[in-house]
Amino acid sequence: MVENFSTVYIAPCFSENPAGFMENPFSIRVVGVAKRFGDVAAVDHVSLDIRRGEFFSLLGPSGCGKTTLLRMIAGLEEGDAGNIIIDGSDVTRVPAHRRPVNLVFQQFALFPHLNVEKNVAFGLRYKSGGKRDSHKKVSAALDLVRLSGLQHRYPDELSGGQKQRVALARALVLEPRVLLLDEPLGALDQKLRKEMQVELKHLQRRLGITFVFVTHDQEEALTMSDRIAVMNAGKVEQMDSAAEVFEHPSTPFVAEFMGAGNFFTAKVREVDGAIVTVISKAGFETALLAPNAPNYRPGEKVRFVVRPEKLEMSLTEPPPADARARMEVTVEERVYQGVATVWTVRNRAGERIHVYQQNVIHGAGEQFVDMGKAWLCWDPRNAILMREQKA
Amino acid sequence: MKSVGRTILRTYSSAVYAFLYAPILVLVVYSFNQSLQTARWLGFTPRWYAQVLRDRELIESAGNSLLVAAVTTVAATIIGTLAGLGLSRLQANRGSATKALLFLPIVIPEIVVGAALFTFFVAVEWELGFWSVVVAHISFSVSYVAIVVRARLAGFDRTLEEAARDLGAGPLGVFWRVKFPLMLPGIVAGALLVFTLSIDDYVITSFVAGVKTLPLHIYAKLKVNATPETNAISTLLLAVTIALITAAQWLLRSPRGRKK
Ligand SMILES: Nc1ncnc2c1ncn2[C@@H]1O[C@H](COP(=O)(O)OP(=O)(O)OP(=O)(O)O)[C@@H](O)[C@H]1O
Ligand SMILES: [Mg+2]
Repeated sequence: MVENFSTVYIAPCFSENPAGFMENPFSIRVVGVAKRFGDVAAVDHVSLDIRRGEFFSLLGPSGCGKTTLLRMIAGLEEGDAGNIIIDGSDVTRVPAHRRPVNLVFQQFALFPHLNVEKNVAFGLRYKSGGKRDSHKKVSAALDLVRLSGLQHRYPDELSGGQKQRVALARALVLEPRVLLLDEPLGALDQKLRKEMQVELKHLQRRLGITFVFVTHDQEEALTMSDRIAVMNAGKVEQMDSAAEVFEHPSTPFVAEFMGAGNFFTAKVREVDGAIVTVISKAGFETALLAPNAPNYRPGEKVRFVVRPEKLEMSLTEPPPADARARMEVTVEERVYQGVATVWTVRNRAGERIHVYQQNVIHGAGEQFVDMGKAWLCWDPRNAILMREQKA
Repeated sequence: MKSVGRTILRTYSSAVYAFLYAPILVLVVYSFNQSLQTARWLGFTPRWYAQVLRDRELIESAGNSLLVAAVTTVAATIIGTLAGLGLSRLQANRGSATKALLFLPIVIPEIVVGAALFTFFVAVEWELGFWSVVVAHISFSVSYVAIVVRARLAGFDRTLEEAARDLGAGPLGVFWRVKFPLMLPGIVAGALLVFTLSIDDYVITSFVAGVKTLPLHIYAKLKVNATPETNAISTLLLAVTIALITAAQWLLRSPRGRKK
């Protein structure tokens, strides 16, 4: 029964070229899409290519335009500019009810006057062949989200997690080619949230449907996504694999948002191939590997970022033979978290730095005293060079 | 201390209910009184009801009233619902004149409305008869339906409409499968209100009537002499109203109740 979902989709009624659609690797292409509300540019000329079958996340702080962009893909919001292409067909002018995508709303939006079964069956009558075996399809969808047996309940008789599953089943029963999810776990408590993250991810793998997932939680995005688009003030700052966004943020905003936080001001001394040598404001010199090295000019002011967990703290300066970059700091504060200790230290330039140290050896942190000296060192490959502002 | 408060509260509420319902109870009781004089109880009899059923003129006027009320209810509910729908789409700060004009008939004194309608019918040379009564009743009822429906829609969650669209429903599907079921309680409440307003309207009807309605008949009879027969008619009217309200309640019972 469940296999229904993972097998064949309905013939793509919007594709001009049904045979060619399989060759098109993109599920959704958003091309230069923009939307203003009065003075606010909610979505500011965004372009995205979302691949077929991937788990794609839109990540960004509150008000950055995630919902607006998702609603534009669903057809619930009309854009001011740009095009939206689903499976190779331009649907920019196609109304919501004729788009082969479904949206799971943040507040679930279940129909209060219909029971679970009827909520889930709602869209079937509008789908060609949907009414055939509709009862079976509804049970299969409810099985899929592990909600069997609640068919006759009404939405106000369900818990938050159960409502969430009904909303999911209601969309999945239509076998959409793309499922859009707007912070679907936002209304759930922490524990349920973690469980649903795993479950959603499994579901997506099993069904092979493209998921476009909106969240403002970077950890959630990292756990679940194949690729992430980080948004800020209506623009996409970076679009990359989860690991790449985390390890190699391309802008200060992304670095900050992904919790990197340790920014060092520096000046370019020389550029040699892919290696940029900089002099830090704190006085030390370090060579950085930058894929876009030729873009930098000697004398230019830059920043580099090192994630807190890439830093190692020791009481004495590492020997010169050690090829790692280093700087001297003053210990200011420690926060013991059980698994790890987070240190706040300050370098000679007055830059505040967070250091995340796994508590491998019991009591290892005791050697550092507050306001005492310590040394930080890191592999230069873990330092990411970036301009002050996005280029 | 607590029990004193409770006693006072209980006495007070009993008094309020007594004030509201005692006259009606007296009316019902006296409709079974043998005495011709309303004031004295001489024993039980159903004969006034028998007399009501034999009163040709009364049956006829009741029939007129029911017909007027039925036509008025259907027409005013449709017009009022559409008006309520339209108003609910206006932004809060827009169309305040439109809103005010729609709600005004509720506060204009009936005597003014009656006189105005009468003048209007004469001016356009519309013969006073059944339809003049219907038109008059529709004109004062539409506002009530519009208000009730608009209030119902004020609490309507727009994302439900969007969810329906997203699931494939076109404009008609969204309306009939989501919006209409959710505003139905408002529509039924409005219809009920119109029916009651129409069936017992005296003032406006007296200006424009070309047919005799029940209130006109009862009033004419009372002026000649008050008999237990009028009590019987009133009791019957009361029974019809209660039946209607019960029916409406049953139709609108909550989904939870429908489940079992
Ligand atoms: N209907 C609207 N009318 C006016 N402004 C709007 C409307 N919808 C969104 N906005 C504005 O557009 C911007 C983007 O809103 P949007 O809802 O897309 O943000 P979001 O990223 O989903 O935020 P959140 O994480 O809080 O849900 C915000 O500044 C918001 O105030
Ligand atoms: Mg949002």
